[in-house]
Amino acid sequence: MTERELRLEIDEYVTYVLSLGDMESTPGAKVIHDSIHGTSMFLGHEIALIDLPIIQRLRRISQTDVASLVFPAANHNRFEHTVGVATIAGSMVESLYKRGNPLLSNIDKDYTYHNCRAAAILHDCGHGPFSHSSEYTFKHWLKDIKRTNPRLAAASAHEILSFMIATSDPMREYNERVIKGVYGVDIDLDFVGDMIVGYVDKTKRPDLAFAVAIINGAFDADKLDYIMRDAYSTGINMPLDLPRLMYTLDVLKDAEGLTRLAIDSSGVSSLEGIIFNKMMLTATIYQHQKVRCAGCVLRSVFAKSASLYSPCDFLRITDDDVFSLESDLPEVKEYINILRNRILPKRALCISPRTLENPSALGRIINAFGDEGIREKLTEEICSYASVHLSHELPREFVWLDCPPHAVFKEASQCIIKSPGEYMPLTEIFPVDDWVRTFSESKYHGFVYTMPCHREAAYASSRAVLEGAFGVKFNDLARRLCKL
Amino acid sequence: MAGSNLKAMLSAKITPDDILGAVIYASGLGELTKKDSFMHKTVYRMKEEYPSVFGDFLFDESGISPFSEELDGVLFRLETSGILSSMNPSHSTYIVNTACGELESSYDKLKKVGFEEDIKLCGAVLRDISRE
Repeated sequence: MTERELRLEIDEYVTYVLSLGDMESTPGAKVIHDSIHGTSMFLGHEIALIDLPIIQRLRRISQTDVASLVFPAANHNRFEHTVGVATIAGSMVESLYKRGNPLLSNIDKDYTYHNCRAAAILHDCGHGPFSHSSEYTFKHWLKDIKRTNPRLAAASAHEILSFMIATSDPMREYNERVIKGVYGVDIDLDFVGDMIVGYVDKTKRPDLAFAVAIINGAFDADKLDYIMRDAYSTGINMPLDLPRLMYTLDVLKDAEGLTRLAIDSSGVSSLEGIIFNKMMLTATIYQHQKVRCAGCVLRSVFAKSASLYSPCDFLRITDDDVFSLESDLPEVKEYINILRNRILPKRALCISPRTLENPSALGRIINAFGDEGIREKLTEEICSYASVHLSHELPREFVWLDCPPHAVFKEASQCIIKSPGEYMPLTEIFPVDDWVRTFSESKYHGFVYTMPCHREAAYASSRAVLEGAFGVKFNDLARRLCKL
Repeated sequence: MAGSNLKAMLSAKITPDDILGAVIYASGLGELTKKDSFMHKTVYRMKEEYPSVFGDFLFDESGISPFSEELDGVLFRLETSGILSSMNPSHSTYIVNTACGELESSYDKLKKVGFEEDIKLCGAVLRDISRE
């Protein structure tokens, strides 16, 4: 898919979806209560943005995909996260300007504040149903766009869609007519788009690099909110010293002349807390084996649905629509039944550095499981082996091979610590990224999943096929870690 | 043997892991520094010189140093597989495990598709940068 094709589809989508809302409404300021950040004031133009159907749909998109099937209270949604990110982004701007750093004296505070808050409100509007689960399906269509536009090279798939929505023609028209025309607020949607994808325009806006980092950077408002919100909603206690972090925020001019967001050296412990919390959330929630296996079933629904052909199709639906997606395939109806009634598959084979006699091949297995074509062939072979050698009909639609993607911990290498007369990345003070990486690598495991009645056959056949295909040998832990 | 018909297909497929693995193998280095985002900075420089070899590695250039999520993934897999390892608590150096044969096999794959010269040159660049 080309960028032009995507832009045309996005313009059409935004035009349609804006027509569903009350486009003439010009609300005043409102107070919003939030379970994490308490009570916050949102200005009239911010409420106008929040009221748009492109944001309202986020109420019906789960923040943590299918984690609620394992953590019953994890029913929080992208909308409350969006409100939280806007609150934190506003506080970060306020804290920075309170500090009185002369580097900010020529940058209008209102401009920074309004644009950061607008970017925060719009930053997740490109999410499809069940957040990252649907993103896994549509990200493949955006690969060429990432390669051809350096602005989008480092952006995730949903960020690219959010960027496209924020910079679409109908949004520009709405911005001119309502946000500027009615409220008199200067929002630069090109800058908002850059903040969403984390792109620093080094020639055009070197003095505003810090604002980009508030929305998409090493310790951005997005991360600060999701760490607190996901921990709170899943019931996993993870303290985060946000007030201390706010007190230590500052800016500095780097070697390239960019005004960067930095943390005073007295805030290092808060940063370490953020990174350790992210590591624990990844291991405990996002890569929980049951969450991953429910995600596999959900991704099968998206892959086999007859109505999802382009990234924009995922913007037209929300979580509630997934359960009524059209398909003539009986397995899709069964997948939906599995998710609705929580009849989840179970582990049949564990793949990790500890379950392989020769773990040097693990990377090849992870890569193969991440390739749709190879995964299909392996699944086919596993089912065929079960049929021929074990006389067990293992239905290929109910075998899932899953190796989770690695968790990215770039915070420590990208986060700037300011101390008198110099600055340095956090890693120079303490290699926290290496420590969390070691933990993540030790905890890493992929699984073969299947329905309970097929576990023994799936274990034996997947073990035999993977050993033959990759020249590896599994030890007994590969079975025991599945509680077989 | 089960899965053996897939073995040929799997060994022919070239992944970003193979590219980095082959370059490390060609460099002949037994150790690589981890300090100061060395691998990200080095592959970023090599991509500028050999874009056809490193096309799969996309870089975020907006931070204080270039960072590639793809490269981070490759390093994660090489580390999890024990091909690159580092010692607690300093984590200052990667120790390269050539004995397992994975890096050599990656080098052979790239050799078969005519990338041997580029990989050798990249290996030399990696060696030179390591000495800087």
